[in-house]
Amino acid sequence: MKSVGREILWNLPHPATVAPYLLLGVLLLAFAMGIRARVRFYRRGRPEGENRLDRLRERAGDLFRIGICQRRVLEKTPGGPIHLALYGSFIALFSVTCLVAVEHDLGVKLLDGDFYIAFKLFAETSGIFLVGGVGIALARRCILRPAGASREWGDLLPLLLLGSVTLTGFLVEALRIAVTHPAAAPYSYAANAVAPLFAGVPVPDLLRLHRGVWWGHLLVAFVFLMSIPYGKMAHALASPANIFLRSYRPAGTLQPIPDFDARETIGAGAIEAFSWKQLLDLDACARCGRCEEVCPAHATGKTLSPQKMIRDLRSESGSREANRLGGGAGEGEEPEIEGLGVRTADVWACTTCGHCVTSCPMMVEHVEKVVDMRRHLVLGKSDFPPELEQMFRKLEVCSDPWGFGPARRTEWAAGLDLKEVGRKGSVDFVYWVGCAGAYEERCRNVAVSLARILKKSGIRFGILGPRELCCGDFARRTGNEYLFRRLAKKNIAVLEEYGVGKIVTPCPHCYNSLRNEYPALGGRFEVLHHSELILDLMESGGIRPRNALEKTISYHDPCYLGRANGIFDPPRRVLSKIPGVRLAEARRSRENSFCCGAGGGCLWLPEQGSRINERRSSELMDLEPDIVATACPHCMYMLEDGMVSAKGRGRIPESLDLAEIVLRSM
Amino acid sequence: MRGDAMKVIVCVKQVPILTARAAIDPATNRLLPVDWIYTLNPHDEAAVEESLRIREEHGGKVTVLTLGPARAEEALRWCLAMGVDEAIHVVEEASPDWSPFAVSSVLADVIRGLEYDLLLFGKVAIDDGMGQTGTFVAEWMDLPVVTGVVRVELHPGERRAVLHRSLGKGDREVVECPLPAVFTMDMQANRPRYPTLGGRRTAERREIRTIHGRKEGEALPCRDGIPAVEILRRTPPKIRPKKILAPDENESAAGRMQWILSGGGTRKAGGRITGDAGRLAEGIVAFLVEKNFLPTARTDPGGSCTRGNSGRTPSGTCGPG
Repeated sequence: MKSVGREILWNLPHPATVAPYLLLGVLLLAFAMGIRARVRFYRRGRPEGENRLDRLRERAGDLFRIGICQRRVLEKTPGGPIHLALYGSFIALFSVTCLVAVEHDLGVKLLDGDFYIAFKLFAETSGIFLVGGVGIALARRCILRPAGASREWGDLLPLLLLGSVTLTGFLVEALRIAVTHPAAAPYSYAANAVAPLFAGVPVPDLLRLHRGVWWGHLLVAFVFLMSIPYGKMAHALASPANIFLRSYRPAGTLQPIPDFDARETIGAGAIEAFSWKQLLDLDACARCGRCEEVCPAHATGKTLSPQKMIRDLRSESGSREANRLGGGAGEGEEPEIEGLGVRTADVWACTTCGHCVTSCPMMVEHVEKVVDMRRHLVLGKSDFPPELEQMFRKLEVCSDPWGFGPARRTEWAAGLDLKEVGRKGSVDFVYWVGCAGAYEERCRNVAVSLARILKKSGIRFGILGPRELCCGDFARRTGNEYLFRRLAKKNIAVLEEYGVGKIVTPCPHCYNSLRNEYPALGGRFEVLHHSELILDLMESGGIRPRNALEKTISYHDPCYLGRANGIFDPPRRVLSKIPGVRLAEARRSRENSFCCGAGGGCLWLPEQGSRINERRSSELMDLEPDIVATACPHCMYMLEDGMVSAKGRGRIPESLDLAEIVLRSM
Repeated sequence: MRGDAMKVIVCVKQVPILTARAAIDPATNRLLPVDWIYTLNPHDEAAVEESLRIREEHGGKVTVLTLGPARAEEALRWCLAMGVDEAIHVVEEASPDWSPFAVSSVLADVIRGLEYDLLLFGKVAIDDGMGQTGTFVAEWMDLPVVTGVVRVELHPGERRAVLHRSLGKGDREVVECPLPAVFTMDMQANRPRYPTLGGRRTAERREIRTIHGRKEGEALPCRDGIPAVEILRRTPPKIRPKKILAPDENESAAGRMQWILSGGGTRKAGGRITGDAGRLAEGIVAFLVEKNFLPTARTDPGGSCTRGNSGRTPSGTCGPG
């Protein structure tokens, strides 16, 4: 067989053998400078609150799965496959180019014979994928225009550059084929198909054109590579790093602040006040818009978009002056956080449901930033919605957000004859009621129902009575770290004084705080959500649902139970153990559950746009259930209100907590 | 410090807020303290806020002063967190015998040892609702007093202030007053700031000057050995059927609006006393005697005070008699 191969740098005069190396030098310099600027930028951030370099094996695994194999990117269509086409073929073509460089510069003859043919086919196919991917991506952004996919130059330019590199590549190939008619031409099937177009053109013109296009190809490719650290393409470098440095805390947990007691200021009022990892997040964002798609605030007409927030932070961070001088709101402008370019209204619109975080393929941590900005507004500038101030004052004086005070904390239990936890070892479980269960009229029935179930089950449990204080979740998520710590430390002291080992609570917010956030303050307890304990009791025979409940039940996953703590199945299993119950799964459920609108302190804040709870309620009512079940007191009344106010519906389902439903069947 | 810098002393009180079962102790005729939670009196907090705004505008120094048991320190810490410069705590055991008369005479003694251009109080404490302490202190110190202030415009250079008093139903009275003076603030005057983290830290660090009031067993300041205030009995308010009056439908819209603005049908029975302070005082005393509110034996004015002896006692207007 005749040897197939090709002359590298065919038809190119002497400068072409030297100039690319000079250009390569420029490219590497610009690239290095870009990286250095970005690293310097990250280093402006404060130290991290958690160890980002532990569990190296797990991190390496995630880098491989989520980063290199694009597992989270591929979770969504069509964005996932489009990105895979671009990403995969870019890497393929980049390797192909490197191979050519190796052959030419090291003088190793690689591209020969069958290998050359395989190489040709591979490169050709990759090129087609890349051009196709760019075409589809451009068409999607510019013609189909799905929500969240922007058409800004920053987003389009990398696509246009990539497309141009590939098209000029094909053109160079086609021109070479048109002149030399090499034996291997059929394997360059795309270029070979284009080559006949140049059939009538005189050879000297073709040679000139070839040289011109070759230079164009080279320049566009170098410009693209050089631009990587500077624009949106920075995600190609930052996101693998970001995935490697991801957090392994449960999704709903905020970072601990170990040096809080020594701090005079807290929160992010300037870009430097974010941690270096938070700044790396800004570059890792590829603006895919998935966070925006799932954001309950964005879906209900608020101006908050997690994607936009990240982009605003990044663009503000570009100009140092803005960080120093950026004034308050001009006339007619919405007030922004000085120097961050983020609207304060957006900062308060977040329900901290965490869906943006769990849907981000780059492991960007949006909620951490929102809370950091809230801390700045609350504890730094003392400039925040007056509704919150009422809540803070009640929390501070009365230790509950409703302001009833400890003396009324056991009112709900009147007549139940519950034991108050006293000396050590007298109970197996502390029943942590939570402020909603203790004070909120509707939720008191949940507290009572759970108490009745626990009494019937025969386990030894007690309540803390007036010594239970608010867990501090609302305070923490609205940026009042000071108040959170005060409450948390008092609670920990009480729980430790009583030697409490196990805690059961019907509130996922209490659950999340006690279980995930108290350990950083020294309080380590075994915490169970009531759905877990009820399931245990059902399985061990401690409680038996006897009465059939011929109802269709749709279960709503509370964010702080499901997404934040991965408790999806216990509530469902409890419901399915009740005879007669039919479960109707909502369109958005489990990891994709949609927030009720109460989290992150939004319960206490006025709401702009349409109501999140009404949106969620309508979704659940579409299933026409008899009962909407949930396992969070706040979700329960948000949905109850939402189902009543979502107009134009026939029968309104009951909104019940898991405990209430179980008790009915006993 | 600028020439028009103001030294302001704010007198505050830590008050209990009642959050549960309101039960009266038959022994003392007072509310049971078991369910009390303590906080800074909101009118006093408005006074603290006003003092901080004055300092921000004119420069100077703000001192808060309280009389109360050890737990009252929390209220002072809150003021420090808000940003006041100094806090003084007159430590006295809580006792039902503390009356505005007694408190004001102790406060006046402390204030005499301090420099000040302005004394601020809350117009009333939300626990006992007496609303007299600021006025008494003004009397002991021989200073002008303006009560129920909702707006303060200071002209430190001219040593005067223009004040708005809330008269209820949207009415305001604008008065001018020379400085130094005593103003008692209404919580409607402002929205007090919420402490920042820096403020909290400062409050944790700053030392509070404590003054130990009476010696063990020493009597409270009183008049001629008689406590200035004594609760004889307490009766629940009489329940009166509430008349709801609606404007006459046959009237024109303007007529109805005028009727509503004029107070509608809610005018209270009784007369109105006019004239200078002396005439007002006489009128009030006469009314109280006539209605049998005032045991005649204790109405003689001009008794001497065991503490805060400025040679003057509060006049009969709202005096301790």
